[in-house]
Amino acid sequence: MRGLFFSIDALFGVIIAIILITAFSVIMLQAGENRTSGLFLSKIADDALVSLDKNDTLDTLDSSKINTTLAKILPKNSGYILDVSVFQCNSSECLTFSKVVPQSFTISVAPSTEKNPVIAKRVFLTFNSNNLVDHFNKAELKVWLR
Amino acid sequence: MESYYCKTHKGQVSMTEFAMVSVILISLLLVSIEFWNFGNMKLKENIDRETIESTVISVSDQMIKSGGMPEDWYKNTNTTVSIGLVDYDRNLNRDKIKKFVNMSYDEARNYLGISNYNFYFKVSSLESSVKYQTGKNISNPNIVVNSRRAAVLDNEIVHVDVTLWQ
Repeated sequence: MRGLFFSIDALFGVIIAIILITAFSVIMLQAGENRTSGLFLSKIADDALVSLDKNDTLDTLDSSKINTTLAKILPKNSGYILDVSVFQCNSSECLTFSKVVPQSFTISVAPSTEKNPVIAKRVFLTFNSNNLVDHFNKAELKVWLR
Repeated sequence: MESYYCKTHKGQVSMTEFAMVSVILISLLLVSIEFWNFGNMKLKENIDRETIESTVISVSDQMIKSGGMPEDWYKNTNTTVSIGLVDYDRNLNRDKIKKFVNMSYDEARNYLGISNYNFYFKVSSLESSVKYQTGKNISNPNIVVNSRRAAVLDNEIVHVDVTLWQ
């Protein structure tokens, strides 16, 4: 009986120690978490697309020019994928669209490092020389920290 | 004789056992207190950091997404309720920026609602040439948080930096 009593005593001790260690570990992990970094990055991604649209860089559909500017806007330690899809109306009523493959493009920077990305999307129009809508476009920017 | 011998040693074992258990318990208690204090300190640091981070996000949002209240606050600051630096979303207004950077430090902090923090504000080109700046340079900070946002000024994309520190 005495041996059993000591075994139960030791078992209680071990259980209490495990509970304490687990509780402390959880507190430490929670204390170390940064919950606003994703929010920061999503704001930056959204700013980038809006700014590119507002100063008409996005409208050029020039992948090289867009990439040069985008690289300057986004943090240096980020990786990103920008996917621009260009659509045109199939008829004068414009009830259906089809993707214009030659003008659509994707820019990738450090795609192999992708981890917990944030995504920003923007829809924009491009106009022809007569100021009529030429194309309907969708830009999707995926950004992450390397 | 044998039973006397056992009794004597039995008492010694109990005393030794008691002393060892006491040492272990006291050590555990001290370690637990240390852990608890350390955890509390880390948690407080984290709460302070998250508070300042969410403040810097809302201040930078206010600057590059809002025109302020009233919209023409820069013409008469006597009626200013809040400051915003754009005409419309992400399109900066040069007059509003000029008025803001020429305000006194405390006045600017009050309008931004960040009287508890120090701040530094900068508008720079994508090539890092500074166009406008105001606020205090960072010195002896406990926590520093910088928010770098992008906006458009006269059709040019610029960086808008808001730095808060305590």
